[in-house]
Amino acid sequence: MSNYIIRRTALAIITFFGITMLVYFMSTLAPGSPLDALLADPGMTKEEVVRRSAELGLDKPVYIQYFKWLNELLHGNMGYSYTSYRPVVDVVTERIAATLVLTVSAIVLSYIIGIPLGIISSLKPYSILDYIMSTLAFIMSGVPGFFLGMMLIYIFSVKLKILPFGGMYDASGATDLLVLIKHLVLPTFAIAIPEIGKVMRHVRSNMLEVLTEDYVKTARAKGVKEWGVIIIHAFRNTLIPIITIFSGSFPFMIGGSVVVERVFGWPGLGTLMINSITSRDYPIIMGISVIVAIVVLATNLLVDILYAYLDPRITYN
Amino acid sequence: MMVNNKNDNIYSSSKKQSYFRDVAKRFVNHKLAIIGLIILTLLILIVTFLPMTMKLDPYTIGRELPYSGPTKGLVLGVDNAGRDNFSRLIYGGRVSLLVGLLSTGISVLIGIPLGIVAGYYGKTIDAIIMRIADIFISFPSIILILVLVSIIGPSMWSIIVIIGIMGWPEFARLIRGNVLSVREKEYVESAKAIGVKDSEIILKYILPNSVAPIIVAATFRVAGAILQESSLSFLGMGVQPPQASWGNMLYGAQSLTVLTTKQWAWIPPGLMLVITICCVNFIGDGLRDALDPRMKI
Repeated sequence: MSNYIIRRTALAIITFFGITMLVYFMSTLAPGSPLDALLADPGMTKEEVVRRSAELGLDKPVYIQYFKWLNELLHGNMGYSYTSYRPVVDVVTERIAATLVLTVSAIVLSYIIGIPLGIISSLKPYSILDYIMSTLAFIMSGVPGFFLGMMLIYIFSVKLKILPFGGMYDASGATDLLVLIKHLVLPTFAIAIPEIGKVMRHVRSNMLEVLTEDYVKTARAKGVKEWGVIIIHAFRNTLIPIITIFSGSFPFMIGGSVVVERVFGWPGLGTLMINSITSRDYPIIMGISVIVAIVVLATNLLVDILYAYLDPRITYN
Repeated sequence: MMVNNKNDNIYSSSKKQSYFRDVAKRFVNHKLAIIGLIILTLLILIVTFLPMTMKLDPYTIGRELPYSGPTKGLVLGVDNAGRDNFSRLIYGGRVSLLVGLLSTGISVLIGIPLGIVAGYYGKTIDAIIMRIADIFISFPSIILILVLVSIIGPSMWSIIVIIGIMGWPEFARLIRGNVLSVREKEYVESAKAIGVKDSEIILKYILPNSVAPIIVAATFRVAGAILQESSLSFLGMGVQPPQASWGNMLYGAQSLTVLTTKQWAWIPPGLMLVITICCVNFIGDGLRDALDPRMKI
């Protein structure tokens, strides 16, 4: 077990460096350099620019620049925003909470709704109810999050006027929980609905498999009540495959929130990302990528460990 | 040898026929897949031929005042620059389908050779390729795509290439898994033993075994690519006006006034996206059931 954890952690760290390398080299390909701003100053002499360039390490090969940047990163310094001149760490950490609140609510919601619906669908396979639910699940998993968000705004904010159409808090500046929840409902559903469809389909197909197992028949033969068979004997054994789909869908949901945040004007990393790309603020883009990479890899590592804990057979592979 | 070969062919061709008949039968039985196939075929015919027969004009600006409502000649009204929304809807369909198909083609062309090399030669090269695949898979691809778009610049062709490049790991993983399982089979070992070249083993023994799962994965990938293009265009980082795309037709509806009062401008392209993506997914599901009944979900 501990061997397995060490191996998984090592892999996650390697992947983390891979991601930072990929994003770093990609951003060095970008047109324009930090020196452009200096060159625009007419008082700048050529010697001065060369001196500044050496100071920033820009005269060195790219891989040396990368290690320099990585060294700074490990000391908690991610550079300064090109546009606001504030430390990247401050700008990014301000926004991360908003994105996490949104994605975590969406994940919780998609499992709370998706699991029972998937179980119901699996109990009478190939019935009309199952057919309708499976089709709906398929349609839900293919709807673009931004269109879903706009439809939700149109129905619930514009027509029914029961929920706010955007932002995280009221204009009044009140920051209580109730206000937050009201603002959270629509964007959460916009991210969760496609995920609900996926969870339903996974739960259904895993349940169908488990329900034919001998231990389920045995439980029934022993006179265990039907809901006991379904929940305790069957569903519990589908939990492990369901955990594995989580690690695949987490990065996908973070990606989905980038787009949905834009629709709802949610002040998270997604909105920051789009604004930074428009203004070519590469230090911020790098900062967001690093933070997202850490969050995603740490979550997946935890899921892997949990998975091994629940099913010790996995560590032998 | 000759006689044997001939017999082999007779045997395999009759077996092939019944295999394809089974596949077709299972696909036809999948009602949603058939509905998806009919709608998608209609859609392809419409976006291909309607512009020619109706002389649609998606580019002329100022046909009416910005965001004017539907009239007899302009059934879906006009957009922010006074361009005909209906023509743009049809031309947008061309973009979506083109991006979906071409970028998936690129992903397959990159993923398959890398997956084969990783699976067949194993060891270090396998570790390196699969690590890189992990990097791509464990990171939200929309972020990498946005960074790349900001560097290369947004246009339909750059979007096709970028989405195509980002989609390779799925195919590499899939085919690598297949190679690993086929590599150990006796017939591959015996082919190796009699000195058949690596390239021939890969083409004759390994690839045919992977065709079915690749077709299924590619179908789902087309839907994924259409979704990614529309998201990018919606964010203003994809297909740029005046060129029409369903995603960029929704861009204007980020303003609350348009969202609230100009439904004809943004609901039709959104619905077309949902219908197209669903149809492609239904076809993918039908193909999965038909080609490999053992595959799940």
